[in-house]
Amino acid sequence: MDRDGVAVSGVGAVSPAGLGVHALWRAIEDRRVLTGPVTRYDLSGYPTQRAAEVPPGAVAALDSLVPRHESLAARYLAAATLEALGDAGLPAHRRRGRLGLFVGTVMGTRPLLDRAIGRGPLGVADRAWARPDELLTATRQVVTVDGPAVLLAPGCSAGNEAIAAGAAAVASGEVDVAICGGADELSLEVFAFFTSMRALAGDEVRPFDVGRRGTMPGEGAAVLVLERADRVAGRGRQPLARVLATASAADAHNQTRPHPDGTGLIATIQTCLDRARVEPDDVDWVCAHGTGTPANDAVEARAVAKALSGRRRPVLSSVKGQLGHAEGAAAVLEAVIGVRALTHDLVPGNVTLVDPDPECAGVDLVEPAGRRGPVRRVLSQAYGFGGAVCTVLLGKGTPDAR
Amino acid sequence: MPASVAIRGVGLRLSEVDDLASLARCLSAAPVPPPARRFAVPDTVLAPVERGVYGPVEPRVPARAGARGLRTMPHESLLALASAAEIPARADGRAPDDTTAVVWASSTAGLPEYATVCAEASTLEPGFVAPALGPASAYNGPAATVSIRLGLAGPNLTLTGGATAGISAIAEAMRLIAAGDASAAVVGASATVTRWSLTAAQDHLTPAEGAACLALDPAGGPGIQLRECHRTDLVRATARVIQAAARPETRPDGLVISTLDTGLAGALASGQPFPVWHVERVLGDLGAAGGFLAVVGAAALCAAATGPTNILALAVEPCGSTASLEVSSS
Repeated sequence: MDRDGVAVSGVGAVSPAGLGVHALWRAIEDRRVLTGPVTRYDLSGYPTQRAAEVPPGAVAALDSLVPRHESLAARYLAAATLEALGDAGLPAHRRRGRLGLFVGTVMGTRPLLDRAIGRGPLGVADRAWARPDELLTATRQVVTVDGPAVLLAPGCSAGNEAIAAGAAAVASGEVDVAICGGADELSLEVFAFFTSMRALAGDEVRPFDVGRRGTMPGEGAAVLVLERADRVAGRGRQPLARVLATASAADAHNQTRPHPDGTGLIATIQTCLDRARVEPDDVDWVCAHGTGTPANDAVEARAVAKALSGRRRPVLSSVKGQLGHAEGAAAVLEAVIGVRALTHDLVPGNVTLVDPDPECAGVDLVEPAGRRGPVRRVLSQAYGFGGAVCTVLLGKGTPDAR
Repeated sequence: MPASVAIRGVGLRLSEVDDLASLARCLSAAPVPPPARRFAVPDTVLAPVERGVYGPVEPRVPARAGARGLRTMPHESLLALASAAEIPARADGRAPDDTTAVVWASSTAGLPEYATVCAEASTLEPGFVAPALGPASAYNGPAATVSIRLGLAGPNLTLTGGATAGISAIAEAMRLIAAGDASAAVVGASATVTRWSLTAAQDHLTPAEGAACLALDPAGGPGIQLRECHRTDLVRATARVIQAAARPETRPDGLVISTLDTGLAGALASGQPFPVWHVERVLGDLGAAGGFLAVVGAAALCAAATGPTNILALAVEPCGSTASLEVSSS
């Protein structure tokens, strides 16, 4: 399968930075921390009340962009899809060539039920919350889908699995255009059980910091448009980036805890390097899963150090200190940031990092300011509850720059 | 996608169906009237309902999957695990570095757990919802459980949505085997019926619960093979069926269709030169698992036939998305 020829031709995003990839990248460059007090739900009584929300103004602005739907995640996805297709220079309807939809999510439309949480017995609104395919409804109204429509929900590896499935469909010729997306909205249910699990940070998410206390939910949607590189060039455009390799595995260990040795993660990183025929030192940025929980970050840093042991320590940072953990949207948001990092030759920093955890000394934690310098390859990993792991290796869009 | 994969084993947990032979008989028989069950969830505004349902299905988890911790496992994960563990482990026992993939499809996994956490969050003080329910409230409980319990460390995927997800799960498993991500695959689908799932149930179909699982190997040798997956819109899919039916050399020996639309199933069946079976008519509405059972049903019909047989499995969703797969025996 010729994965080398799979190009990213367009990107789109809805994030706590607002609508659009430009807003997202500006927030990354400006080192803005986008977590804050939750306004969408009444969290009085909860010990922590912070998350990363798509701002109310951006939510309101969706009205003029995408069809109405009760599910915010469904609307985020439609908006990100329209932006990405526009970025790629592709019409949403009456295209030449077959288009497939590959979307990752963790909770899909289920958070519609959260709105009924209040005092007393749970009310139950409508029924879209019990219909997973409703997540794609708004997107189907704005884009003609004549190829596969695949909804992937393997846990928090969802976004990368969507990229992997879409890249494979492009490489095999099943589709000409793959919309690879991830979408999730803030869920009070997730907030409630994370509170019970004592997995939430009270002030900021501090991935890889010795004082990290936990993560915070985030939300949004992001989309990569994937096509064969020659098809993009045929339209007189330059690919934004290339999908050099993807790999999947599982820890097969525990429902909520990662394998202490990070076996699944190590396997996927090594497979990505083998497939792309590159060495550990050729990876310029590891966009970490980095949730900021005590359980995750040290395991992840050790696994990355082991899988990427070369002449230098792997350069690693997590954007979750800025964006929170957007679950099914997280990996695609991170891939979009990876595409921009490749274009702008900037490795985003660990913005909230104060005191690096000595347990993470095997990796080169990027200082909060970030680093300017050539970024030729970005490795981005995602995994979560259940033990599924998926890793994606992105490279520059132009072959001679690789 | 590879030219084909071979079915190494089958595990079934369905109401009134024990094995491929009884599945093949069931597909051709008249639907059995479902027993009525009462569904209620206290602490919510949902009124109790009484409804005919295919189920409950007893998981009967084989010893191979271990006995510890089963009591607290969600019912759908138990059904999934039972169907997967029913298939004997590989004789060559490649664990623990085995890269067998687990790919699962479900429309309902985690739904009762999600709703229960919401109900608890409504009535309990913050921080007191059951912490174990949360991680089980996403869709990936069955795939995660099968991977963890059976030690399968290959890619772990969960698909959700409607009936096409059941066939797409097989397509993605074939992709993972072809690309070398997986040495083999355990692919399955499941559904459960709860008061919660009934809020979105179709009025004209019988809600059903159950699980089915196929162990897939890279193709080689005799047996039942899966090949040629096509995922497209209804117009193109219908055109393919008409074109294939027009010529004897491409004509399948039968079509198994999974769709909520009984009218569409009837329209596709009328005037065909081959028999057409409708999954939901006899097995009930299993959501994403319906598409998967179209493939398992096609495999059952191939296994029941006396000579080489080629049956097309087709899933059609209300939005017009379709997925199809050719199932054949040599």
